[in-house]
Amino acid sequence: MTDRRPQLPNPEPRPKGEVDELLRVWATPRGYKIVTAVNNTVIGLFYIGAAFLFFLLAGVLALVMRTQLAVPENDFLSQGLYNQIFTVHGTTMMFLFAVPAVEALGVMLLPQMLAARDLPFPRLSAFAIWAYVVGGLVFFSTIFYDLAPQGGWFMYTPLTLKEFSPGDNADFWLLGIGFIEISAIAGAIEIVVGTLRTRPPGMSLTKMPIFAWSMLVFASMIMFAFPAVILGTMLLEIERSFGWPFFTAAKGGDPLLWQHLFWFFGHPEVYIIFLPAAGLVSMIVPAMAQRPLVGYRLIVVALIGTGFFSFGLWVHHMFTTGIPSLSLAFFSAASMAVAVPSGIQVFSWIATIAASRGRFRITTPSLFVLGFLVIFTIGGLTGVMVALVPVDFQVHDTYFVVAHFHYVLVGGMVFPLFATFYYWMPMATRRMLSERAGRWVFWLMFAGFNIAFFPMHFTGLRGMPRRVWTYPEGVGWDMLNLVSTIGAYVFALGVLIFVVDLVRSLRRPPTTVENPWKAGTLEWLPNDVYSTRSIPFVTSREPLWDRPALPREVSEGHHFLPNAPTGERETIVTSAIEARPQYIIRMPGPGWAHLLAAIFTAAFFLLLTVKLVIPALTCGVIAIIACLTWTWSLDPGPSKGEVDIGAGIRLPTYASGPSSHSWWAMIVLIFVTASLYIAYVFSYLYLWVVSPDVWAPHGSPALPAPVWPVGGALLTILGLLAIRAAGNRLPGPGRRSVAQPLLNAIAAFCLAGAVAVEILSHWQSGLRPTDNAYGAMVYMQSALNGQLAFALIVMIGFAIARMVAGKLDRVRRVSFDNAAVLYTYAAAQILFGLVLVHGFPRVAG
Amino acid sequence: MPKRNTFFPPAPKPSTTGTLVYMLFGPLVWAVQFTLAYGGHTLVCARGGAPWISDVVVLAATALTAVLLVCFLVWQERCAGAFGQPAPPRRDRPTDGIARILAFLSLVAVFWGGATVGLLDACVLGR
Repeated sequence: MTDRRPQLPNPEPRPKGEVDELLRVWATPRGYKIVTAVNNTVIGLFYIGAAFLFFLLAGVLALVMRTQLAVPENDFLSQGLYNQIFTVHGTTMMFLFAVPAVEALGVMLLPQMLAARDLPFPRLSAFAIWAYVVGGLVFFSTIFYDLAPQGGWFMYTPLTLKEFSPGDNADFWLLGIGFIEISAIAGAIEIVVGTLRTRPPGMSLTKMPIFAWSMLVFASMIMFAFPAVILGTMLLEIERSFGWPFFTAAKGGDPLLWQHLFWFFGHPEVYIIFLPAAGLVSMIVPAMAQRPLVGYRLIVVALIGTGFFSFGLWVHHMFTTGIPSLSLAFFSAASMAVAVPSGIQVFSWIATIAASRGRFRITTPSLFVLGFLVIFTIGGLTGVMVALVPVDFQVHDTYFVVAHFHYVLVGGMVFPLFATFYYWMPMATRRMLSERAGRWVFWLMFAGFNIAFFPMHFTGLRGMPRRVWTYPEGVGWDMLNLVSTIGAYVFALGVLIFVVDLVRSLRRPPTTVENPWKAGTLEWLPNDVYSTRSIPFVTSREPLWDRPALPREVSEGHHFLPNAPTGERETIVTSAIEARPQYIIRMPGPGWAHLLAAIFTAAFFLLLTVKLVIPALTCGVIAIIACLTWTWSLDPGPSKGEVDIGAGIRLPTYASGPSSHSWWAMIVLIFVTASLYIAYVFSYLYLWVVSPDVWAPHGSPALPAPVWPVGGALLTILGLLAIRAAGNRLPGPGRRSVAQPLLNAIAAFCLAGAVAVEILSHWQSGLRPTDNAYGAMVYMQSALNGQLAFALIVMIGFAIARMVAGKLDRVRRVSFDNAAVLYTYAAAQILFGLVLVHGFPRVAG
Repeated sequence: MPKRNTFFPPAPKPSTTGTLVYMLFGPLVWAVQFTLAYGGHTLVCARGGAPWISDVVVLAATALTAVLLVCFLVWQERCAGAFGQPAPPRRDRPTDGIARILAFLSLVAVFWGGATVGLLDACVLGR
């Protein structure tokens, strides 16, 4: 056997005590302080646990609905309560279970698959999780107080406008879900930066595990899809609360605008849920087949292709709303085109199984994967059917569609998730779930699902509409509904057995089983709270198969960073494409600030929902203070110098500017902000197309004189110059500057001034946001710019405080750089907005 | 003691943004075609323009983007260089393969979407 030790980054035996130091640094808080933990191995479990709890709760609601529908003319539930239940069921499954479950798996599995000690922003992950848990539980509890919304998970206008949905019910959805979407975006930022910058040395993009690819595509899709619905929820809540008529046709608004914004998010959402699940399957199938995945490149192509094409499908949810034929044809074509990349993945999995020549092991994870293949393929086929416009006209809003999307979502997400539970349980908890019970779970769930949902195709074809709380006897739906209800209970029995097995398994002491499936990827390396003892040098896609000695080498510390040289939590940041080591990131440990920030942010939104404005604002201020406290320690500076990670490589322990992970996160955030703004521009132009008669200068007061927008533009440019000058005047380490904070303050003042001038200009012209849709859109632009300006004023104030405290200089400058790059974007958005709002009506009018 | 060059031999580094754009070139061009075709056609119809103008918009968007994609596929080596990819043999071949297949898939999608133009009246309501 060849001795490969000379090829190792750290071939010599490691000094004693390094593992103890790693354990000390990465120790998990005990007792009640566990809530302050930020390590992915802990909060990932909290996250997946919470998501699964919401799955169970929403599942119970499904059973209640199926009980109501089991027989005709049933009065088990009232109509209003039924409406609330189907709304909360759909909302919970989509927003509180599916997306969070997938993000949870990302938080939990990605660092292990990438052999990183943790993702780069552990407190951001923890913040996102706690915000989601608190917000989600409060939202779900509305069902117990008759406060749940009744508008369906899509909350169509005009049904959800104040006049048709009085009370606070719809507001709980709008503010609660809007807030949870922000939490999802926080998670997406973590995943994008983590996947691109914390891969192990040598793991280039094209050696990355497919699950990491799928999470990268997933998080990128969240960046562009979620802002549309966030804008939609903002517009609807503002219309409900303040009467700005975005969706009221009588004032130039359009209810269909909501559908466009919602489905621009809602359809990609299906793939946002499915792609990571497909990524999980792409990890499980090779392990069970004991051979590499057939068509790695094609799978990557399929993931990226699906991610893109899924943004061209949203109108297929609106085929019946009265849209030109040619538009219907575009979206019909795109809806069929997306089946191609999905099909590539299915054929790749089948080819991998076939190429294993009978070695494919039939375990519980395999059964769930096979069940997924069957169910998802049926859902895909009915998807192609409803992509055909004439078929959609016939089955729209019937139970056929209910059957279709449950086949896609349960088949495409829930079955892979259960496969994941069985497959990765030993990695996460060092315990196996029962294979025997697992087979019962699978067969009950598989049979129950098909008994419940297959008949719904026929119920739908026989004309039963969705969302009806009961139905008359003798129209041909009775038996089909009864069968569906029986199937739902069989499915639930399978889930119940799983829960019992899970609890039983967790009560057993952990075993030392390592890599029970003999998989080839890095998450099966020996690991502890600090992840792997050393971070491996990766040369292939299945390192554990190609280098059988790797687990021993890694656990003996022969690879990179086998210790904690700074005495803090740290991991290696590598280049985005080739994964060359660049610097050591020092990460924060457990703390209370992010937890308080999450709780008080949730409280701010929820109190605002019930119109308790003063307590809400108080909570908002506390949340901001908590955020500032949390971020104060995040720019540690270069005090620790360079450290040796092995192979003679010495890395800095600090980075700023475009190579730093925080700069990358800010760029991702700017993409999100830009997406939100593009959704606004779309809405502005859309409403102009629908109601040009309310636009200035004919349907509204004349536009402000040009001196107003010119003044606003000059202020913006002056602020931009000031922030640039502030960047050039950062003092050297250990020194302070008076001019720099002053320039920062000028920049903040100019930005606030530009927004104020814009609002004032329209106000003095006589335009009011409640007049018509044009007025609402004009002031909405200032609301969006005002949000950005507020965030920047806080960030600039923070940078000034750090300068005063001696924590900001030419080298230690991350807090300033983040503010400066966001400022540049904000200036561009404000200038573009001035051209749109002041220039467009003059040209188009 | 092993040296850094053992693990990371000195070599030209690919551009980060360039690699991402190179890989995603096909879908990005498809997105442009989709936006121009759908947005332009809807605008023409909503503003009461003649349906043939709408057809021309869609055809122009389709032709322009199809030409771009065909050029990319034919001269992929040159495009790779323009997007900051190192010359062979330092080039990452899987990246080339992914970019090529995505561009081809996008070309099919561009034709697939654009083909609808001759089959339907542009501005007649679907229902």
